[in-house]
Amino acid sequence: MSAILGSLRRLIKLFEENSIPYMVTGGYALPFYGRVRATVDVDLAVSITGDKGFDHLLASLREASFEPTICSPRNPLIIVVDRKKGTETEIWLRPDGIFFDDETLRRRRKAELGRDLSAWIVSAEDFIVSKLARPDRGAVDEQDVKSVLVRQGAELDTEYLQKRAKQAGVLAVLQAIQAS
Amino acid sequence: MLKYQFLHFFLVISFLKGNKMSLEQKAQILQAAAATTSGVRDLVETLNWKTSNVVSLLREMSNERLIEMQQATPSKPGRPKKYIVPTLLGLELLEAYGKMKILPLRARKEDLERAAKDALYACRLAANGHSTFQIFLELNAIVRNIRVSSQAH
Repeated sequence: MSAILGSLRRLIKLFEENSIPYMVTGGYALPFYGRVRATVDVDLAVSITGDKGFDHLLASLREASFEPTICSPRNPLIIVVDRKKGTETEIWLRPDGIFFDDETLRRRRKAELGRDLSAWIVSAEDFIVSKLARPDRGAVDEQDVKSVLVRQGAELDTEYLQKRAKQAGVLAVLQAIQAS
Repeated sequence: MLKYQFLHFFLVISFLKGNKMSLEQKAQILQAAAATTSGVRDLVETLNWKTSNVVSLLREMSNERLIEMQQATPSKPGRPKKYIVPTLLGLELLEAYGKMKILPLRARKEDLERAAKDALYACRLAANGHSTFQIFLELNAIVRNIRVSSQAH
């Protein structure tokens, strides 16, 4: 198993043992819905509430040999370094464009990442919106979205996608990509 | 506000259904009808499309309340002429379509076309029983090896 996947396995175990709702987002979720492209960035979104939840998350991470490098409840993300493997993972407390509510969590899907390793993956619709809502959105993000739209086709819940895209203010961009 | 919500909904549903061509055509009809008083025959001449296509689109657009057929006051004997008039919703759609057309994307058209092709390849891989996530891990490993070997030289 690769170092990155090994780290991911330990993080998922940590979240599940501590009943922290999570989901894989970004480049590691893409191959489930769209094109296949290489990336080293591992993004996870976690749902925690309040300072107590935040402190509990940090303590759990440190206990499992993950060192948070940037950590403030005011920051949308925490970057953690796996002291055992030397890899980095981005843990998002407020992922771009994603309204981390019950519906988002309900729409996650469980996917196999490897032998004896399954994880919650962001829904295809929330994946699209989070890609488009990135403040530093680039051509690659738009290509990722296009690939998901093409591969998922009629499988997408258009009503939900429209609702979330509107909430995130990216409806027009979505329309333009769909039309291209 | 509700009207705009409907408009956005209409645009999204049209796009997501892959109805791009039809949307473009509807926008062209709205543009032509807004520019001058037009009957069906006038539109067919202006747009240079098949009459059956124009009639079918007009029927659809009327159902969607994008246009209204208004009857002209007859000045001479015979069947009174009907004119196509865009509704307020139709005009808003036209405006939104115009804005959308000029919306700047970071990706070029060919980048998005390439992404669509890659997506279809991923579909074929999955259809042939491959796990696209495993292929992704393999690709990552290849890229990593190339980086390591290029750094070693």
